[in-house]
Amino acid sequence: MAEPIDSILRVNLNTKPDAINNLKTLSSTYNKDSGNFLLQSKYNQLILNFTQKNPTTKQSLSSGTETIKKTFQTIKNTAGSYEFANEIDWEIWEAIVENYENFVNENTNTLNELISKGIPKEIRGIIWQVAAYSKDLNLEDFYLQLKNETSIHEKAIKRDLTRTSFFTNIDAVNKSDELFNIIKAYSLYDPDVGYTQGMIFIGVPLIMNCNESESFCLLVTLMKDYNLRHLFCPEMQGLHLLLYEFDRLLESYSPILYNHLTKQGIKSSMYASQWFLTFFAYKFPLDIVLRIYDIIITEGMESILKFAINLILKNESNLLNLSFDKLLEFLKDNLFNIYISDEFINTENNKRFSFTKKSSNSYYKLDQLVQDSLDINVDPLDLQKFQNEFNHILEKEEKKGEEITNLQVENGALRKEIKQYEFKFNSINADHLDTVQTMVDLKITLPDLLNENSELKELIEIRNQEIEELEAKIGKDIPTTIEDQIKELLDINAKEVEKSANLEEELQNLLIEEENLKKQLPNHTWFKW
Amino acid sequence: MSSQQQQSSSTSTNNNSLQQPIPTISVKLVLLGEAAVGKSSLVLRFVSNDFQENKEPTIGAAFLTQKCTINNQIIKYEIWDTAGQERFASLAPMYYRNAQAAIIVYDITKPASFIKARHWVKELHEQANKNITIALVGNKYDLVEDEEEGGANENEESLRKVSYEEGLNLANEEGLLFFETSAKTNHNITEVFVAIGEKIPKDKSNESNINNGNEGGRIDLLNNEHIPQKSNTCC
Ligand SMILES: Nc1nc2c(ncn2[C@@H]2O[C@H](COP(=O)(O)OP(=O)(O)OP(=O)(O)O)[C@@H](O)[C@H]2O)c(=O)[nH]1
Ligand SMILES: [Mg+2]
Repeated sequence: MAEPIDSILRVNLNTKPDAINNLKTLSSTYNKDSGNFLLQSKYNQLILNFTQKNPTTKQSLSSGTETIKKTFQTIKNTAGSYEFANEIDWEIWEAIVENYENFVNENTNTLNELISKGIPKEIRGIIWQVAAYSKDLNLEDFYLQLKNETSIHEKAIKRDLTRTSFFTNIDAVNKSDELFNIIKAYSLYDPDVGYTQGMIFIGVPLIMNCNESESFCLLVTLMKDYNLRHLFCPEMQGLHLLLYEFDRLLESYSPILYNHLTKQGIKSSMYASQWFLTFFAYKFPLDIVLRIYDIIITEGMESILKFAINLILKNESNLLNLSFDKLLEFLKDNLFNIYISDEFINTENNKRFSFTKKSSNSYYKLDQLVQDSLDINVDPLDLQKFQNEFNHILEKEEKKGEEITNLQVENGALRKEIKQYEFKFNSINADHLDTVQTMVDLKITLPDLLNENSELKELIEIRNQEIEELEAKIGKDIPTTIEDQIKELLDINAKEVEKSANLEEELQNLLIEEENLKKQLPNHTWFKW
Repeated sequence: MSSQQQQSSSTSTNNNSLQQPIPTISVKLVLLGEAAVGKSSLVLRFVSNDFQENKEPTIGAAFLTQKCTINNQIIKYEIWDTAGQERFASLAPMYYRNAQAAIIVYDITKPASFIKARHWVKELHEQANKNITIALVGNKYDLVEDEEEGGANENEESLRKVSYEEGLNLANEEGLLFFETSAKTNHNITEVFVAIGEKIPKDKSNESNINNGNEGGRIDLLNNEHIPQKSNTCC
């Protein structure tokens, strides 16, 4: 399963150099001979984180751990008198509490075995806090302050608390105020994440094993240092990453099953989202969830993959025979059935089981379940490789998204252009239609006009002929009217000539008379007057 | 199991259809809407005729099927019930992308859930199948039933915050089916699914079944489904 580091490094040579450094650092956090890489790696990563924190926080965390050690002593001393206490190997747990770092690195396999059998419930909260390095006295003070503030998520948290049967059905019910407080305080502490459905499931095991402020510190540590907040942040990238890692692991562990599921159209997000978002608390009872928590807190969030892969592999033969609908049903309800204790199988007629079973004997073979899951030794370097792939795909997808946005913008602009052209086209078209209409009208009137034209031409012809005829006539005889007029004029003329002749005769007579008169005058002094 | 139970909407059956095998059509349906409006309760009522006072919040999504006979045709609803909280929006596209029908649910006593319903209508129009059949459903009618049937005290503020007309107007504007329902009292629940079954383009759904080539209705595979999609609903 584990690939040599070089091959992984080669894959990443053309990526950023700090990615290679990260891989080197990561590979230094665990021993390749150990049977559980994640167990060592998680704690050493936490310690690396710790060294980078500011002095005040470091101080506060160290004192916190010291306080826990003291609490452990108290429990050990008071518990000694009870019967159950004999079942606990106090010596070894004490050694673990006193020097967890040493134990993780030197006695990995012993620690692994102890945890896989389940951390005793009396000291579960203590071990969790030691392994997570979570108890932070300053943060606890801050919590007391946050607790009294109001959050915009309060209504939603309250509403979901009453709707979460995992919570309402179990003994934790009398801790509902505490649970509400830490979830609300977290929504104030990390406003980007706020409150997400699923967080209640995460909070229940914490509040059952630690006091209120310790639970808050553990929640914050899980969210920040275990990356849980990426599961719940707005784009839920942490979830998508886990699903991707799950797919790759399943593909390598059982290509047949992977192919079958893919062919049937089943995607891991359809059934595994709720596993990862609630660490199996959504469907499965508290005793299973607590055992899963033992592993999550000591090995990191990614150890949930071991449970997921194991469950699906153990049911491989069943799953291979099912198709879409039945697969989803089976994946939702029946995966854990293979771990039902024999005593319950015999009495159980109904295939479905009760989630609220309260029995001293566990309904499930818990040890078996955890043991089988831990046999899957997930390599942090593989996970890192998957994560790089995932980020790469994500980048590509983002670029594609950008491209799509750009294309959409372009598309929008083009569409606008089209609209404008359409508008232009419409107005041109309207003009065109008008023109066509006029043309049609003209065409309709044209024959009439032509007719008219030829009629007129004929008329002209006729007129011309008439004119010719008339001209010819003028040459031969003057029209009577003119003749009459001429006659009349000639008459008038004759009369005038006669008149004039008469007048001239008269004048002649007058001139003769005057001559006579002059002769009669004595001296021609007519003008001497 | 309950998925075998059949609900009949058409009481008149002619002899012909009794002799001929009734064709079964698969319809992929997705439920969308704000958290706690009653999506899961609606499906539970339709599939198992049951109701739970404190229904668990849906994490991720849940798949259920139910057959019913509508106009001499068996319709097998393949239902994806999604998680309502905004945070889960990055998971929703893969469920509605190839859906033939969608029920957008709001709570008539919660105005914010109606605003959210508008967002879903918009997102579906932009991102889903072009000929998807959408029903808008105002749920929890039982909470206002009494006050509306006369017993209401004039002075008391009504629990109803979204009027019937507001819902109807949105549905008319956007071309959606519209119902006010109660998963609690089983008011109008079957009607929603029958109306969808009647409205869905029949040949289209057959076609897509043939194209699928396998018996279960399923969400098509896109290679990069793990990649969170930027949700269009957040502003
Ligand atoms: N009075 C009344 N309550 C209802 C009705 N339908 C659902 N509820 C209640 O409303 C709460 C939420 O119902 P769910 O069906 O879980 O809502 P959901 O939409 O699936 O919610 P998410 O899965 O969180 O998105 C539950 O407590 C139901 O009992 C109804 O018609 N009337
Ligand atoms: Mg639901």
